[in-house]
Amino acid sequence: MDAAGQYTVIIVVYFALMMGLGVWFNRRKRSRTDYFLARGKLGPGAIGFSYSATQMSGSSYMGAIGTERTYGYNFSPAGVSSAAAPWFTYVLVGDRLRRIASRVRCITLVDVFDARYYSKAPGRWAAMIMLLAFIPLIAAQLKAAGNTFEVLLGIPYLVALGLFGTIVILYTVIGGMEAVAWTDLIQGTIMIVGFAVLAPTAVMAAGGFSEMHRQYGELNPGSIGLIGTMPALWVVSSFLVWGFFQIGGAPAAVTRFLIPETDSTLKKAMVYSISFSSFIYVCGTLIAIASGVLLPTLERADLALPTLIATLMPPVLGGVIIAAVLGATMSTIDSVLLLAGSLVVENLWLPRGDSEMDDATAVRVGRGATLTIGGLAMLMAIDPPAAIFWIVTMSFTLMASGFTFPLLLGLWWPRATRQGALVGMLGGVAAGVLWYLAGYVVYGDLNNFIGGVWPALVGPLVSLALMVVVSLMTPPPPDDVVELFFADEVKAVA
Amino acid sequence: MATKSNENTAPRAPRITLMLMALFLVGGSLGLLVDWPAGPANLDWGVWLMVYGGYVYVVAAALFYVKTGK
Repeated sequence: MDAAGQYTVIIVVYFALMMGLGVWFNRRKRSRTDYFLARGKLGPGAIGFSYSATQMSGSSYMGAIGTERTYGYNFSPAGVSSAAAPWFTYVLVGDRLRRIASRVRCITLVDVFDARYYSKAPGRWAAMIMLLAFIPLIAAQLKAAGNTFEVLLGIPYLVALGLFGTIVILYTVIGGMEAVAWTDLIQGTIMIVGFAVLAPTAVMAAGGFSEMHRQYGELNPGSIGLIGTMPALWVVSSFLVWGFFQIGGAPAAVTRFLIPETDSTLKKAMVYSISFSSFIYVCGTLIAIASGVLLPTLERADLALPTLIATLMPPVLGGVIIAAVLGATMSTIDSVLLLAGSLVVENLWLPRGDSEMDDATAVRVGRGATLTIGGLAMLMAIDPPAAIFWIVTMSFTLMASGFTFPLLLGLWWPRATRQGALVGMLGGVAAGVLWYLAGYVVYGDLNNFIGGVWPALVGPLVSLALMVVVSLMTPPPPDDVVELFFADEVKAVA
Repeated sequence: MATKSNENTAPRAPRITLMLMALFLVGGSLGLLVDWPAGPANLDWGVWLMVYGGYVYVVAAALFYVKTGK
């Protein structure tokens, strides 16, 4: 059997196992809270891996390794920061969210906004921003997977897209959160094994750790240090953006904080998540640097990872690693689809009047929404715009700008008001978009930012300023809301 | 039972962890701007400290929070 055949067999077996897992969990009778959240049913390993696997999308594996191959250690601080993202989100948001979820019926982050801001308006806007940002995000994942199949299996892009897209959408629809989290754990384990093999193999092939860096430095003199190829502000703002601002920028991952019922589960999940992310990013850096030495003439940087796998790995092992990368893609798609379905049911459909909808109907509506959004993303991925990866970054910017401070201040600052949250959310999104457009006007390129400062840094900071000012200018929140969200502090003071 | 007792505990801002986060963000940003001298393995000390050392810092800080809650 040739290499493409072996890749195919391994990947087919892998997908069959994932589908089987979805069917297995579907056999259990459950409520819609179980379907969307699986609250109290998952251990720290499943939650921690699920957070990281959702945070690290397949396109970011391909894109980040490709980008790091080009920019070298100029881009590495963003990786360190991304590894720290679970630390920021678990400590600053996770524990508070878990406590709130035990008092208020919360299935989505929008439920938290609804309860905290005593109005449906901020939550509805948040739901619409998320749904808008999700479709291109999913389309980009599908495109990354389609390209991987194209390179390694030699099958046409559209066939790959149809196969992969159908499988991942169906198994999300069938399985719900419990299946998603368990498959995330399996995929995370495969990623660890795959990268643990690929990274040292690539470094050795490039001449060893020291020699690899000497050669990389000769080929890319500006990229062997922290600053050089890219301006200082680009490096610093990417470091700030990809860690702290994932609090708002990755709502599908943050939803994982609504799952655990105990503090110890949450803390253990954080350790799993950070250890996993750090290991993967260190390996990713080594793989990227090695690919810069081994594949210096590769035209499409995004294909560095699959090309390196095809070059260095025996097909059986390469197939497992590709399954890991595809697993990351699946993790992001399934988590985002599941959140999209729950947003439609819980925050857009039910508030329109059908509040007595039974669980079975709600799950059916959620599945319908998941299929619709997944289908739209597949349509977009058939002929994606050239700037699809810009759109992914734009998706992150929209959500980081809109949600980071309304969420953070809502959980920690009793004085945050409905008006402040709404103005902060919409003002932050507008500022992020305007910063992109300003870069385009000045440089004629949406990937060039003024002064090198990332829009995902500007948007949240504008959101913070607006939210604080407007909150202080408007009447404080009702006592019952403060009691609900800050009862512990009130009791402690009393 | 553990859940119930946790819910009745007043949430405390983990002050030391907050300081470690501030150090990570501020110190990390400033550290990126330093012109670091050459270090081992054809890398400068900035890469060793800010990149590889950064991962160690994050894992250690997370473990500290889990162990102490501070």
